[in-house]
Amino acid sequence: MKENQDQIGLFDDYLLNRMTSGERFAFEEKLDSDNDLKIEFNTHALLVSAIKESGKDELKAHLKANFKKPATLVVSKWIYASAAVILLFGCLYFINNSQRLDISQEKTNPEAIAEPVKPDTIIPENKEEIVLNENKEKANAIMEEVEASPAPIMMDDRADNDMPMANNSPADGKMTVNKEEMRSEEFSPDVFSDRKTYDTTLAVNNIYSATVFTNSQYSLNKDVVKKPGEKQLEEKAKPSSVERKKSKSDVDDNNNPDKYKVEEWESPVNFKGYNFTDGTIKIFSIKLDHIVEYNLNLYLKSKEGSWYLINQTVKFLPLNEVTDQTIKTILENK
Amino acid sequence: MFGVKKYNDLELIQEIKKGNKAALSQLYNDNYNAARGHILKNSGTQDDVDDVLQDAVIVIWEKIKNGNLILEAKLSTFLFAIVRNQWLKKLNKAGKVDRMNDWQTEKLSETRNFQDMDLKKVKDMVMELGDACRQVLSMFYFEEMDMESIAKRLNYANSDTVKAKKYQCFKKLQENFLARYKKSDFLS
Repeated sequence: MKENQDQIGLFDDYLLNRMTSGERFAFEEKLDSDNDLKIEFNTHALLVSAIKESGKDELKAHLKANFKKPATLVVSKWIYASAAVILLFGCLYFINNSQRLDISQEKTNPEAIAEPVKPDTIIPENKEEIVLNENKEKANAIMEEVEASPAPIMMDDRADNDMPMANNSPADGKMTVNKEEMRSEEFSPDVFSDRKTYDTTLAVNNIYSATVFTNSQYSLNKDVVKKPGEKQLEEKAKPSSVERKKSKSDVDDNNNPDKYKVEEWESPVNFKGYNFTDGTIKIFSIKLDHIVEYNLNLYLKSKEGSWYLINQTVKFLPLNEVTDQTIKTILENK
Repeated sequence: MFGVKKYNDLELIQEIKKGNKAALSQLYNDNYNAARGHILKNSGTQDDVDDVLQDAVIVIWEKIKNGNLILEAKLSTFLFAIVRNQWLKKLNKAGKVDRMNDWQTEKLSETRNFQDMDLKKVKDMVMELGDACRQVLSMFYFEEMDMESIAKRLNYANSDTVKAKKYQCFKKLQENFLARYKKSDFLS
């Protein structure tokens, strides 16, 4: 067996090229001289060839079994096809949607008009472009209504009667003056032009402010102008509180004929502050409760219940809240 | 397809040398389209594509294994050249190419006698051996792995065990062969 194993080893070395050229030459010489050995070798070589071939077959089977068609052949076709379909549907959706948007815009506009622009409502930003023009019209309409409405002015007249200086002019005259004042100060072309500068940058807020402007305008000593279309409850509550406060201030500041107008503005950047010039206080992001004069200073109370010191200022300043408890108490009791 | 590691040419050669069949599969798969295009365009069938490309991959594999591969271009270019040659040979063999000269014909028919008829019968005998034997013999003669590598791959204790196993299996094949055929039947 050992001999046989050695012979197989020798044949293998020859067939697998594991011999030196000398060994190879010697082996071939031996084969030529020994016919039996040659027959043995040829049988061996045939078997080895068969083993090699079956090895190849196995490898081929492996290649075939593990064959996956390259992505570029078939899969890419599917990818292109599905991409095309998605694109097509995307386009259809887009076209369809934009048509729907046109319709919805048409629908939105009347709604924007119908919905009153309340002072304590923040107009959603996304409405701005759409409602811009409509709101302008609305603001103008409201202003006209305010001018035409006699109701708040009559109320003012009653208040005026309590005032010493009101005696100087008759009720009717006062009414006219007030209206004119309103026209000249609040609805003058100047004010509009001022608004227009805002229009270019802050369209929505400006329109909103213009609305508020007319609605939430207070005079410390006299006028309360309410938007005629506002909720009845609010109309009843607000004038009475201002009247009460006003009568108090009359007692304290009998000799002070100053009137202050307070305009509530909505800040688009959430600026919380005020300016106070030419007798008009513009407050941003807070709501007026009432105003009190104390020690030649003007204090404003917000609806939230905070007191703020209001100084004369052309610039817009941040609100300066009163923290001193004693001053607060005095102000509360005024 | 996605997420399977792709070897570059150098890595492919290294992996094929190590006997990594996945690397051979990559070679096969990556060049399938090119081979298919060429063979189908030149009066081949789908089966021809498979056969020729498989043969070409094996040629590359043998060259790498024997250290005969001198790569002067991309592996895919080289493989495609082999595919083209192999397909031409096949066409010649089938008489599809008229301009084959006599010398070639003679040489082809000479080698065919022995290989085509007898080898197939012996191959069947190899297939009849058990898996373990076939694996050892294939690794030794076809993949030309050394005993230690085979021991590692097939979890044998050491190279001597593999040597004994290989001898035992080869003897078995030899016996089966001699039981059915006389040596002279093949080798006269």
